[in-house]
Amino acid sequence: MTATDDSLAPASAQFPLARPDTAPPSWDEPSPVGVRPWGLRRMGPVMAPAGRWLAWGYDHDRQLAADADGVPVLDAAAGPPTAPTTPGVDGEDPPSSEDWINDYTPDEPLQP
Amino acid sequence: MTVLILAAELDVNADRMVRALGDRGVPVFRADMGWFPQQLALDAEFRNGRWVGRLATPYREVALEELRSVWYRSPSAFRFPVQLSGTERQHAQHEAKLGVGGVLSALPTMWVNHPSRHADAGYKPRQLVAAARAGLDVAPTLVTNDPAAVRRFAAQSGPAGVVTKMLGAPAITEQGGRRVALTERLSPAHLADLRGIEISAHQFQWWASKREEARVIVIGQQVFGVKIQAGSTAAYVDWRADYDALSYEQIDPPAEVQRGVRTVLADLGLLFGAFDFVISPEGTWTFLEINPGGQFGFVEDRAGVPLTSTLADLLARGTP
Repeated sequence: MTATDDSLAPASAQFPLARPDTAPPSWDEPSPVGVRPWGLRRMGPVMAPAGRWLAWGYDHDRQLAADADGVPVLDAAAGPPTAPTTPGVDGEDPPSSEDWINDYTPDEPLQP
Repeated sequence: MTVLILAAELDVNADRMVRALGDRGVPVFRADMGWFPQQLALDAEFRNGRWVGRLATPYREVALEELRSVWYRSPSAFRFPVQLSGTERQHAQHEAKLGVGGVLSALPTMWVNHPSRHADAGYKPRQLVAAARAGLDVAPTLVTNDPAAVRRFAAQSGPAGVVTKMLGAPAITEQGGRRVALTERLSPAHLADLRGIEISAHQFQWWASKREEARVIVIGQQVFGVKIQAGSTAAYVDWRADYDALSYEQIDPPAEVQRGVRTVLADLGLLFGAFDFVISPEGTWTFLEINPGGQFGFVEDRAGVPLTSTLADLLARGTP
């Protein structure tokens, strides 16, 4: 038997979708120690490096992202880590796996 | 026959794939699920045992029966009209997932990766079982909400100690910003204050003796290995902590590792996987995890491995 014979994910999670990059951040405040999950107590802030973002838009004709001059982002911005959000595998459900909408880069947070 | 790419609008790897497939003369239909329902329409009929119809945007359309393969590259969630109430939005979201997701998932075409297999593979405890079953070395691991179990596990680990890492994404948004917790070695201070362990499941793993790490990308049957050497203390524990301190080198994983990763992929029903390993000073490879939607652009760029072209060939072929 393979793992695929026995699905773990519920039906609602079997078409996982990422958190939209336009979704506003949460403004929740951390709960006090004793209430907050221990794993979250290790969390620290991450600030996006200044100047790494280009103005961009999606070019439906070429089916890729391009900057204001029409230069494809993949040509204009090759290099730096640019993951802007914290998507899980689903925009609605809690994350069960890690992924990032803009790669160029790793499955990683931006550098402080 | 067209390749369907389901990806967010800002996704450099998807951009690269559009270009690579275009270079091969392969038609591409790229869409983000965030376009549904306002910029993406589905018209699907179940006829003669299969779904036929079309996906359409204001700019192009594709017949479902004309798809040769699908790259499921982390598309974003459906976006509904702002006028919907919360209840209406939740209903629409659920119906869209079961309807759009259901029709697409049922298409008899090659998926990289199929969304259901992707969802299942996100469960790391299952990954460890699949890895061990495939003959890969896996470090002793604890998943618990019991502080006493954490202390017991740490004591059993000996001088090497224990690391903690998230079961899912290592980052959240809170207080208006992003917060992150990467892999971290447990210190006496950690063990002295485990308040909150009991609130949810937490993962701990014995520290695997480390000379360097490796990311292994498997595409179909092809295996690409890249050694990642950490040049700072932070990167030594978790290389994601300090990208500027990393160096990369293409390597051929040992034969048993190559066999193992292929077996894990088959076991999980995947055609693409990004594996992470620790390489010990003695040369032992210890499996850490597999990300079915893992990133590979940085590996391609910094180690010069032809990942986009290999994946483009697979998608263009339409058969594993």
